[in-house]
Amino acid sequence: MHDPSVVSLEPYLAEHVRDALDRDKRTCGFDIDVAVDDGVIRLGGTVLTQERRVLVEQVVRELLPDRAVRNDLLVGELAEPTRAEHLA
Amino acid sequence: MIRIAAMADVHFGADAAGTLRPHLTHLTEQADMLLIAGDVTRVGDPAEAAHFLAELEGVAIPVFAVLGNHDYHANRSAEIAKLLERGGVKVLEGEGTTIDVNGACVGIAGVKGFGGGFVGASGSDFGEPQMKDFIRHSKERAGRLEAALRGLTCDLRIALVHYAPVPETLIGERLEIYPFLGSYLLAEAVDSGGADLVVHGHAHAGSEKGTTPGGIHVRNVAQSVIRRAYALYSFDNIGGPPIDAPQAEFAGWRYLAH
Repeated sequence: MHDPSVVSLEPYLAEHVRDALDRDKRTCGFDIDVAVDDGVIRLGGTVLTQERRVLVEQVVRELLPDRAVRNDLLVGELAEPTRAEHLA
Repeated sequence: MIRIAAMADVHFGADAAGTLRPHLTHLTEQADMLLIAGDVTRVGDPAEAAHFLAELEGVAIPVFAVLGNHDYHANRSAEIAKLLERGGVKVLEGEGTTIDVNGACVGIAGVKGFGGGFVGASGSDFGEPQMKDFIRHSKERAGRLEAALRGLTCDLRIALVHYAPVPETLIGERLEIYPFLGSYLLAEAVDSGGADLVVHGHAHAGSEKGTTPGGIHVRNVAQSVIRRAYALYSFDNIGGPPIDAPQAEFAGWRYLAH
């Protein structure tokens, strides 16, 4: 017989973290990849500023204070284009 | 020659102020127009759009935009559109407009578009009301795009959308989320209505280049895809050589300091 008390809900954790980031006003609208590897919350993707990178990690640590968090978020580096693509 | 600059998915906000403007210094001399394919804001707050507008100060070419899903998040899309228009950005939603560039007529038809999926793997207008609403919204927006394109008689026609019209420019995204990233209905609309280029955003992990089944160029200019402030495209065989100074009739669409 199925016993929910012994079933691990770990496979759902990444989506719950992503959902929490989208509901938190500080991080809502960021495009963050979340994965859980051996219990460690791993954050990936690219954000616009260093402040946003730090903020995402802060929100996750507040949400799951007992978890280790690996912040692999990159801060996007912009540049002007140097040439045009000729379409016709 | 027609030179087009395009960007999307800047997801701007107060915390990003000053990060874009340094990379727009040469935009006016590099392009005849700037197209923005949606997601100007992070969470759809008009204040975020105002911060974005401030970054455009000094840009003296016509600017056209459609809104994206982020710009709708706070249910204040009309305010954002109005604010952008006041700042000199022509916001298109189911309509077309034309400009004269270097002696050629360029038509731009814009619509947000929506999801639904692609040929062989798309949702249908069936079942629960919510599912039918989803697909009908996609059909309705694609229909508006086709009508807007048909209304343009120009040397060059551009479709400006937020959602993707083809799966080719989604490569890099997870296959499972394709139906949330675009719809074949948009490709069908441009193939049927006629265009020379489709510019879109929304697929942050996608690819830049694709074509519709009808052979129309498709470019995904999401900032995280092009990894530049904007992408540049040119149609060398249309219109005369670039004119150094912005043309007089563009003046009303220039960024107005606020």
